[in-house]
Amino acid sequence: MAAWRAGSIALAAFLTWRIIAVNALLVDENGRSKLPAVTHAASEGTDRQALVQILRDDPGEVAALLVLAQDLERTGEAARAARTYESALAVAPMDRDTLRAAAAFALRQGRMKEALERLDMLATYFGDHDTVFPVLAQLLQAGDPNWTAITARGPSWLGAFITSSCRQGVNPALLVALLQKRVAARRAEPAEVECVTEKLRAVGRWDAAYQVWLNTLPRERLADVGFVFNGGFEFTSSGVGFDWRTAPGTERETGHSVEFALSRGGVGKRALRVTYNGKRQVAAAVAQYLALVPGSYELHGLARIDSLNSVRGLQWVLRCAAQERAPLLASSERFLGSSEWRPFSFEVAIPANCTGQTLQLEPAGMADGTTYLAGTAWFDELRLRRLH
Amino acid sequence: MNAKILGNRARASLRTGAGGLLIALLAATQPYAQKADGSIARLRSVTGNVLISRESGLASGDDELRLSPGTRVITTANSTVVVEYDDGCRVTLKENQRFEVEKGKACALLVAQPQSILLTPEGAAATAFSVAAVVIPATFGIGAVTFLIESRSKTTVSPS
Repeated sequence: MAAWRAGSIALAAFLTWRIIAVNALLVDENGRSKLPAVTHAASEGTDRQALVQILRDDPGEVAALLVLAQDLERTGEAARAARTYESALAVAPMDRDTLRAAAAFALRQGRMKEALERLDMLATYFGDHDTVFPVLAQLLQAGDPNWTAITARGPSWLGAFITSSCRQGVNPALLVALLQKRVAARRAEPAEVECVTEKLRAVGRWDAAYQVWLNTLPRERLADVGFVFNGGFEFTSSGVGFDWRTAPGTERETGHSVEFALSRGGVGKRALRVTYNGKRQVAAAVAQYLALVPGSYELHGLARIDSLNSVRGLQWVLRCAAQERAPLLASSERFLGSSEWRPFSFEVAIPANCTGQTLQLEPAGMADGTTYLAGTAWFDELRLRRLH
Repeated sequence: MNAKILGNRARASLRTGAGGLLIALLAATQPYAQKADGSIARLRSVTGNVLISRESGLASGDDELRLSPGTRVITTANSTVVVEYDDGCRVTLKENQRFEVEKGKACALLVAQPQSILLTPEGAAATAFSVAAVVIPATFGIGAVTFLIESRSKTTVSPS
């Protein structure tokens, strides 16, 4: 009996080596498949008989089933291999390695429906995101129709897949359809929305990015989207899409703090309060992407300045973010010193070739040299109005 | 004399009447009747969230809202709307579409005007590169091998 077991292990080791060799044929040095590359070597009758014997002794021996299935595939007996994988799955339907082997076989054989079902299970029950998501992404990009069933089912891993694939550079337009389903089910996470909108902006699809973001807004926020979203600073910013976003980092790192604080004298309950701590400023304190259609506009708002010390002051600027180096389109007056609440405004012309813009609060002349700021600036009721 | 005067008046009256009729006819054949507020269409059959462009940006639009030329109408996800022109032309917008209200265009052109803002999954797939063969991670194919070696040292394998 011991000799038989030792023989079986030796046989398994031999077959293992051969399977690795087959896989080496299937996958090149970059990990790319060289399908179809299953070799049609002569059948190893003796090995096959030994495997069959193992299975006669224990029909539930999944390992033997898998080795047999891979051997059958290698020798060109795909139909028998498929049946053997099915047997293995019937014995161990929730076994990770069985699922992996069966999924890989289905992919090699072009049986995409089966492959997707098994990949879905691997992602759902085993969290095999690192290995499964790249394959799923390829199938999505190839327009595999079986993806529709997955989308309809709305698996738990879909959000992680969207974020992962988005970061890996999968065409964001493909991910939009998946994201829309998540949004409709109120399951979309900010990271998914942010990545997809960011990538759409990067490929120049500002209109699509804006639409994706609009679709994530609750009904009450759609009542008055405006050209500047939440220009009254009454709502907490999500920092996603076309909402306000602040410079990352702590006050110690950025040299300022940003709050949508309770205010007196502005409009509504809250206003933007930016407090500069005297340190060097390297980035805009607050910014918002805009998707204005070309034309003439006027930005107006309210400002209150409290002991703001700086050589050049602080200003709102509008840049064309859709163009390289984000050229300046317009800027406000420079805020400096102290003043009570007062209105300010400036005009801006959006050229035809500028599909996306940023509105941001930055130290004047930040690009020209080192800029230090100390003091507090309040802003409220920022609105852009179309000029006719 | 009286007959002549009456004849002249009758001719003048006819001319005036014909002129009025001509103006009325011209007005009736104008593609769009414009209201005093400049509006030429309105929103009908609004479902979901429909946005329209106003002077200070997008805002939600409800049924019967009057629309002036240049106004953009945008539907969000799971939303539809009909832009009904005063001359009866009806333009249907499906979800995630935009349409600009325009004056002086034939109805057939207007009906074909709504644009999808997002690519459909099919359209997006068509624009993506095609994958001739799916690249299977190397770890996939040899998973069973690892499994085999481990499991041979154990006695049974059962569904977990």
